[in-house]
Amino acid sequence: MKIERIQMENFRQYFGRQRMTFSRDRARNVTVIHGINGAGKSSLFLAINWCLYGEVSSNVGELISKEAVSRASDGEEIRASVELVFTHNSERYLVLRRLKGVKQEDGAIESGDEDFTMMRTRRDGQAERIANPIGVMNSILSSNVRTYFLFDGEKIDNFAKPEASDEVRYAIYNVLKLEVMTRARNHLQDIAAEYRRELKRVSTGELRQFVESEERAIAEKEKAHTRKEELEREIESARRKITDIDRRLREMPNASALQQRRDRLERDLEQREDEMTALISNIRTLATSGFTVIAQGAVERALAILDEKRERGEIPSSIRQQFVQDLIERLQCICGRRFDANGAEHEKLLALMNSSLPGSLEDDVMDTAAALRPFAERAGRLRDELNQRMQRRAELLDIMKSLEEEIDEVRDQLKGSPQEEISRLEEQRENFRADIESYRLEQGNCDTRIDLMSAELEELKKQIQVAKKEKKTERELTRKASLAQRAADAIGEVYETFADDMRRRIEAKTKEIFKLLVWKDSHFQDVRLGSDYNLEVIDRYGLPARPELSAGERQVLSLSFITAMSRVSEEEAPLVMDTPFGRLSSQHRNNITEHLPELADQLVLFVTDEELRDKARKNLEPRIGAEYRLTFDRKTSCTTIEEV
Amino acid sequence: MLKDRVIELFNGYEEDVQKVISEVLAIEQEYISMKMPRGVKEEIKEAIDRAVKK
Repeated sequence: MKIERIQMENFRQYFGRQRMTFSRDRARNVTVIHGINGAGKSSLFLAINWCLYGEVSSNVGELISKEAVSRASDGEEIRASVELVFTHNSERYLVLRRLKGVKQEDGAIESGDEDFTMMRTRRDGQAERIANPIGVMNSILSSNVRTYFLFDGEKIDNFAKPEASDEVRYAIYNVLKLEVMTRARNHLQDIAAEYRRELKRVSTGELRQFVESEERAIAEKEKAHTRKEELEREIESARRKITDIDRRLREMPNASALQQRRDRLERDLEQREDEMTALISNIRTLATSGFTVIAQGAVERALAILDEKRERGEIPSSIRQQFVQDLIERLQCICGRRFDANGAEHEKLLALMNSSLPGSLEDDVMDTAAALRPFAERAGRLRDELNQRMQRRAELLDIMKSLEEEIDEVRDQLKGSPQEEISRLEEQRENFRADIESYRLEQGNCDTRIDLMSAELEELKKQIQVAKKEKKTERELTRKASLAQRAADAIGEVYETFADDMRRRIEAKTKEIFKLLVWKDSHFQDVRLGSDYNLEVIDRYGLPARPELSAGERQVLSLSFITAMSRVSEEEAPLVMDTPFGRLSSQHRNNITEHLPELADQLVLFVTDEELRDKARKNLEPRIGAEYRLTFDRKTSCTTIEEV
Repeated sequence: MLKDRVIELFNGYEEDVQKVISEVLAIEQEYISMKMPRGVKEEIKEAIDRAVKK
């Protein structure tokens, strides 16, 4: 990230619209902003922070220019805005943050909502609005690392304090992506656990059970089919044998007459049985519309009531209610004669009104009667038909019973025949008939079994479909859980090595920079960043020297650490420092101004005249690409930006 | 850049693991300023889903 320009409008003491362009030149990468105390350096520093991240501490006061507020009328809307243009990874971004406020009667300002917009200029020159500006800003320079790139020079000695190992660790974690890796590993582990829980829920092994049940049901159904076919063949064989016996009996003189009589009786019985089958089917059809018979009593009662009312002349009424109503309202007879509102005619008409039904109700009653009459007739017809068929059924049963009795009689005669051959044949015939009946019974059992298996298979088919879907989910969840866990493990495996490598790199870089910046470079022999993230300085005696560091030396150590992190992170980012040299002696200033421009991609320094003079100024001069002075106007209490 | 250096750490792992880690790190970076970000797990699950379906 390199800042290109800033434009402020009505932001604190920057009244109206003011602009500043920062140097981005590689050789002259320093922008110096001069200002005496209170001139507006910190407000400009704040403007950059507010624009990018929107967060300001509570003690900075109003952001909207007081001058703008003073010039506004009561109830007038005033806007403060900061617009920042920067480049990052060869792309250009424009960030605009605006704040609206309305002036109150007492002169105070009631602040409204903030408005944050981020645009990116594509390579073809077209600008596009970024839908997720906070996410993109976090990818460029996240708010939790900004304090290591945009900082107040006088307040950065924290890292060098003995108790600051947590802050050092936090800084390394955030700037060097260790925090991102930690979060990624934790989230991946959580998600892998979630997938495993879900997997446990769905993987019940039901599919296998269902498939096994299906196979069993198919085999059983097939077995029942096969048995049914076998039985059919047995029945056919028994029938053929009976036909053969009948033929032989027909040929035997002492049995022929009886057998022919049996042939007739059996043909007759067969016809009756066919008739009975058709009759029962017909009775079933009629019975399905039996509700008309059940309702017949209520329908006949309703019709009787309506007929009674008709006989009494209540429906349809001889005079329509609306007609009587019209006469009463007009107070005039149809012959044209007028009558009095209290007269006898009026009384008579009122009595007629009370005895008649409203027109619509009367129509409904008539319609209902018309609809009920065919319904009652149909119910009557249906009952008659059912009675007839039930009567025929009883007749048929009697006939069939009589025929069976006659057949039994023939059988007994043949069985009791003194001719042994006839008796034996009849006994065989009877056995075959008994076999057929047994086979039929067993066939019925087979049919029941087949129906049961068919229903079970239908149900199993549905369950298998559901289980197959679950199986697919199970496979997917297994793969997801595995992938999430492998990714989490991979991060865990490289994390320690990477973190240690980063810590060593920062240690080496901090030492290198510290030796460049500190003037007692021969006294301080080493800088160590232990695995406990304790930043330590070792003196020429090999002893820890941090407790003895002066405030200026602590500041230089912190600056070395921050700059080292910036270098090791390899992120293109500016170093924006507010009052960087305030507490430093000239030796440190000289060293910093000599080396810092080389250690930053872009350096923005907010300085007082006292901070940057003599050799420090001379050191920096060849690297200065832009220079401004903030001038505070005592008459308006506003600051203007002037290019030097 | 450090981002690329971090991704390179996983060069020895399976392709699907590399792809998921690359996407998850980018997602985490977007939410890094939030202490308890909402929606981050859903985005990670979507990345895993894409990798599995691929």
